[in-house]
Order: sequence, then C-alpha cells, then structure tokens
Amino acid sequence: MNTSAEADFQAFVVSRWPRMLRTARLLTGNHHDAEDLVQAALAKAYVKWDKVQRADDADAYVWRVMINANADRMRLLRVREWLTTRFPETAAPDRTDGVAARSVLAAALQRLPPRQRAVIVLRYLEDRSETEVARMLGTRVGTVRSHTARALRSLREQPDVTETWAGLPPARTGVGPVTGEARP
Amino acid sequence: MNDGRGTGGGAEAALKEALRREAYRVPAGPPPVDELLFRGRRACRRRASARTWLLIVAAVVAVGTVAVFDDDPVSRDSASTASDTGVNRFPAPRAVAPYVPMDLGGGLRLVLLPDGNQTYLLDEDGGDIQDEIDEARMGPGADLRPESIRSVYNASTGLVLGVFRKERLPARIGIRVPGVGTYPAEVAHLRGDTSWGVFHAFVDPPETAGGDYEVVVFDRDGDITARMNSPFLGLRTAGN
Repeated sequence: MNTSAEADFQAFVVSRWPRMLRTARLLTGNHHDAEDLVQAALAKAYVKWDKVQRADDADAYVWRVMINANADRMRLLRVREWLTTRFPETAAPDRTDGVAARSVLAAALQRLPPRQRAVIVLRYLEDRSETEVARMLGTRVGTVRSHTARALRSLREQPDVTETWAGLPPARTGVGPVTGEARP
Repeated sequence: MNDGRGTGGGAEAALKEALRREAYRVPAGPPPVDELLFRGRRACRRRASARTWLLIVAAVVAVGTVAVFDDDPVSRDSASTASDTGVNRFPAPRAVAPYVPMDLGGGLRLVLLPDGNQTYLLDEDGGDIQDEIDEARMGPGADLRPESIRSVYNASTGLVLGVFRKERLPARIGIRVPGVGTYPAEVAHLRGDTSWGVFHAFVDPPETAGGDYEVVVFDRDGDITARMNSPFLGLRTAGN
C-alpha cells in the first residue's frame, strides 16, 4: 500500500472506529470482543484497501467484512448458539435501572442466530434499508425480511425483553413483524 | 420494516432506541491506528507468502503429471508389499474439522476447507491464519480430477505435501525416497467427507541432486493402489 492509500486508510479508521465499535458491540455482546472484531475487520480492509476504495459504498464493504469476520470468529471458537424457549428466572427489571435493562437486550441479541442478529443490527442500529442489508450480507431482500421477522418474534417471546423494551408488544402467533404496533 | 429505512412507529422506534442505548453504553476510545497498520501490513505479507505457495504448486502442476488411481492394485510385487514397507505401522487417516489448523511441526500449519474443490491451506507464518483462510475460501482449491493425486516437495522445510481425490479413502500413504527409506505420511480428511484428503511427511532428499521420490498409496489390505514418481527438481521443489 502506498503512502497516500495508507493515509486514506488511517483517516477511515479514525472516522469509522466509534461506529464500527458500536455495531460490533451488538454483534459480539461485549466490548472486549467488539474491539477485537473491529481490529480484525480493519486489518482485512487494509489488505483489500484498493477494493474498498473502488467500492460504491466503502462503509458497506467494510461492514460486510466485519460481519463475515464475526461469523468466522464464532465458527473458529466453536461457539454454539441455539435458541431456547426457557430462560433463567429473573425478576422483572426496574425500568430505572438502565444498565440492567441494556444487559437484557444484549443477552437477548446474543441468543439470536448470527444472521438474524446481523440483520437486526444493520436495520435498526445502522438504519440500513432492506436492500442495503441484503447487499451487505450477500443475500436476497426476501431473506432479510424473513430474518427480521423471525428475530423480532424471538425477541418478543422473551418476557424480560418485552418488559425492557417499552413499546414492543408481546409475541403473537403468525409470521412477520408488527410494524407500527405499540404497547397499549 | 417495509422497504424503507425502517423508521416506522412505536415498536421500531423503541427497538432502535434500545439498541442505540446498548451500543453507546461503553464509550469508544481512540482507535489503535498503529496496531491496525501493523496488523494490516503483516496480513499483506502473509497473503503474499500464501500466494507464493499457490504459485509453486500451480507451476509444478503445470509441468508435472497426475497419477490416476487404478481400480486394481498397480503392483503386487514382493518388493512393494505391505510387509516390506511396514505399512501397517503407518498412521491411519484422521478426520479433522474444517477451518481448524493442524500443527505439522516446524512452524507449519495445515487447514482443510469445505469451500471450493479440495481446498487446503499451508501456513508457515505461525500467526493469525484467518486472513489466509479467507483468501483460500475464495479460491477454487486444488480442483483435482477424480481418482487422482498431486504432491509438492518444499526443500526449505523438507515437507512433501499432497492432496488426493478418490472414491475410497486410502488406508495408508507412504513417501519412498530411494536410498533413504519410506516415510509414513499422515493422512487427513474433512470430517464427513472422505472423497478427498491431504497427506504430508517430512523427508530427507537424496544426497545427490535430482532423483525422485515416490508417493505410494495402500488400501486396507496393504495392497498398493497407486504409486507416483515425482522428481526432486533442481529448484528443490517437485510435485505432480
């Protein structure tokens, strides 16, 4: 990489680091793994920096690298994630206890399969459209929609989350998100 | 959650707000720019190293030959039987998990991948191998013809590394170096996939330059099902 390209890379790192870290935090569930993931993704981006620069959406390219790196990280660590309908008994969270409430949501995200989690994070934290998410994940818009619907349903089925997550109605039967519905 | 940016009403807004609170919970410190540059440069060097290996293999394949397995044993002469080579002492094939590096010794690691066709990766760097795995995943792999075998010798490490594609998994593989002996090769295949695999052995080349080594493949009964001569070429790299 020449000096000019390396300067561009450094500028990219400085400007995107906080945002990437926030996305990674939701993908990994903790700050330490998030930093490792962002560093791994940026190191990969360095190797393919010419492609990043040529990409229509450099951010989307690097975010996709990060999401793939997270999937690989989990596979290499042999992390087994599985959905369960039973969760540890916990008292209803106090809505004034912000830290506890956030931890509930973070834990719930970690129970989602990686692709569903990535879709939720990209759609609702990164505010990416379904089309953009599909492109970033290398999949179809229909698949993004189904991942979104399943992920939201899974989250709603968790009482702690629905309590914490004011405005989200409890789980209902049927398929698909319940856009626009509000908790009465 | 329609086709827009998901800025809909109560539920979505609540989810967005909850996610943002969670994401912002820990403030981000300054980026470790120097560390990232170091990692990036190191990854570039590894990538170049991996490409060098692939080029060596490709060049050897271009000038070499590919041994084709016969349905019947190619040789049952007494000089090559199981008892003569002590093949029963050779290690049996082992099933390995995809993407998990195997330590070959000498700082070398071998990874088998389910992507592509007969895709494997040799790493001699000893560091983070993930970048090379990512690179290998994008490639076509060894892409062998059915019932064939290929190998390469690397003089700097003394490693004979080969890959085979065969309907039935070889029971044992040996590397015979005339005037030196027969080295048992370790055979590995992906768990749940016996259609192909890799083998390796560290060998001592003959004292004099040139000469061949021979890959000898045995079935369960100790009969030879394939043999392949490969030269220790002048550049000390050989293969088929």
